[in-house]
Amino acid sequence: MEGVLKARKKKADWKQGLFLISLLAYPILQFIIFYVIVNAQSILLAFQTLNKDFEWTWSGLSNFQAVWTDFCDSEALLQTSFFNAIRNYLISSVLSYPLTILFAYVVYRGFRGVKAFRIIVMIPSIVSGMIMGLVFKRFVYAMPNMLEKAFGLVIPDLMSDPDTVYGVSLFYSLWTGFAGAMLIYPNTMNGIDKEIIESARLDGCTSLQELWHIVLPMIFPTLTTYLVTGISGFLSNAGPVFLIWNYDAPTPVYNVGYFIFRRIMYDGAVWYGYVAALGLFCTFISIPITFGLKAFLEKVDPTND
Amino acid sequence: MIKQVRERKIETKSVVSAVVLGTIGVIMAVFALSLVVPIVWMLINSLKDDYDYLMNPFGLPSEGYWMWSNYPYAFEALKIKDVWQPHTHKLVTFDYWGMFYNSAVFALGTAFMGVFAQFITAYAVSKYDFPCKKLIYNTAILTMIIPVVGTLGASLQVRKVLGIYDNMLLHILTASGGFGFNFVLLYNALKALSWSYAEAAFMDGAGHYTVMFKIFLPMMFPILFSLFVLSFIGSWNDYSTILTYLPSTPNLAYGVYYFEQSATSKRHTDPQVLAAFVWLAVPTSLLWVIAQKWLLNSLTMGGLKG
Repeated sequence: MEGVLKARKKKADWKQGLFLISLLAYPILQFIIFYVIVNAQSILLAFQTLNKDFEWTWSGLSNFQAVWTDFCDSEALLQTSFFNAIRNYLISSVLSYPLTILFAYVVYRGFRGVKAFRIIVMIPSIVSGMIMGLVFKRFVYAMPNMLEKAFGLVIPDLMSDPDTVYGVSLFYSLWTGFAGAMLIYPNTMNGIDKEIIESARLDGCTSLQELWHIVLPMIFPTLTTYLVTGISGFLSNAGPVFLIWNYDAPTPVYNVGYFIFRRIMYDGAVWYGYVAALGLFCTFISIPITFGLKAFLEKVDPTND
Repeated sequence: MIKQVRERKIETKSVVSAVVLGTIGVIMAVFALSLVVPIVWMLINSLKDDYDYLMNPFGLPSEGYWMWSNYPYAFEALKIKDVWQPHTHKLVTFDYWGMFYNSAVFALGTAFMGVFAQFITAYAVSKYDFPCKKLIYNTAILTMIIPVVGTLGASLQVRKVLGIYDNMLLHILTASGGFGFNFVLLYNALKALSWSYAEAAFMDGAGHYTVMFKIFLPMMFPILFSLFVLSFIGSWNDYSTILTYLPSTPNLAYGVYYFEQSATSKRHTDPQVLAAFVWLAVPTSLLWVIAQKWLLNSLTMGGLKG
């Protein structure tokens, strides 16, 4: 009897094993090829250059030296790109995250008009970020003419004036960047136990107190996810720069994502090694920041209590 | 006396709270309006002639000059001529419907493969115990948070070596992995579902596939459908993947991008370009109208603890 049971268990284990292999074989293989091998190839590329016969040759640390030289040179595009990428992340963290949470809280409370708001906020994703960007570009181009005609106000061309282009690019990123969070945050807030909220309200808790003392602590893990993954994105996102300026972006709007995309797609294979070295350099800089922030946020996470 | 002071304090806090929420409400209204204005502006200006657009970019079209013809013009002119096909060694012209077909195949394929791969990975990791479970979960989280930058060149090289570059079908089959944001989202949702349904089904003789497809898949359907629609819309509007990896199969988004970029040399007017934008946005807007009820209410996200 025991033998039969053992044989049955063994058969069931085999069936389960085969089932799991059938589920995980594709994702694991995909991961090995397009994450592990691509990253390994990128690391190898960082130590190679393309010679004039279009052959890849080992070049030691020359790509890293070139990246470091450009990184230290205030006149080089790379330094501007780094500076802008960091600036974008910090400004969006300080401005965009608090606003997102406040907006999401108002949506969660279900005040009049919030359904329409949630739909409108999705517009950049629905009609395409590309269309939004290109319409925005034409809209901003047309503005000086309109302002001069209507109010006699003379303003520079915001899309080409070096003093305003960065602001335009940042404004666009912030302006169109609420869609994803507006889908996630209000739903996460809806998952909070209604009894906690109701008893707090009965005790005279105001909306702001409710947000600060109940809602924020309860959605803290979601907040952590957005903040931490935001770091991994800030060096790779080209933002709206390619969309608005194509391959001819003015220097003040360059960021690391755009810099890399342009070098690969426009300038070609001769830059592959430099860009791969730059990628490793970025990873080297941002890993301690990412894990430091993750550890800090997990330490202060009120849901741990 | 103390009670009165306390009540006054609560009252003051309530007023402050109401003022802050009211201010946020006003900011939200202005923000929403700012997103609607460019869309209305696009629709109005797509009905002007070039002169009217230049002289009067923020008003309605002049009387008698409502250029409805911009729409058929844009539809006809949305063409990419002489696209080299590396597999058939021919030059092919893609018109609106040709690019629409590419968009549909690309968006449906990418959305289906992406959501399915992430669902089966999340299902296996969240519902079964096996030796590498923790490793797979931690790898999924790590790939989300470790910044990987500058691998575009290597990615192009690997795809060219494997014959995936510029091949729509192979790209769809290989581009979607099991990890990423959706994996975490699905993992958390599956974790919240009780395994007792499966145990009851196993007692009745059901197999692992039956449990996954007939019990958990239907329960997860609202979330999966939302992710599918979002992914579909994202892929429909994705021109940069086509530009980077699939240059010989232009989709509608790429076609509109190309139309905009070549407007000056091909003498398309700005209103005609805006009409082309509308042609691209119509299918996804319709899909959004149909699916928005599910999309707005089914997605939540948890933390990153490994």
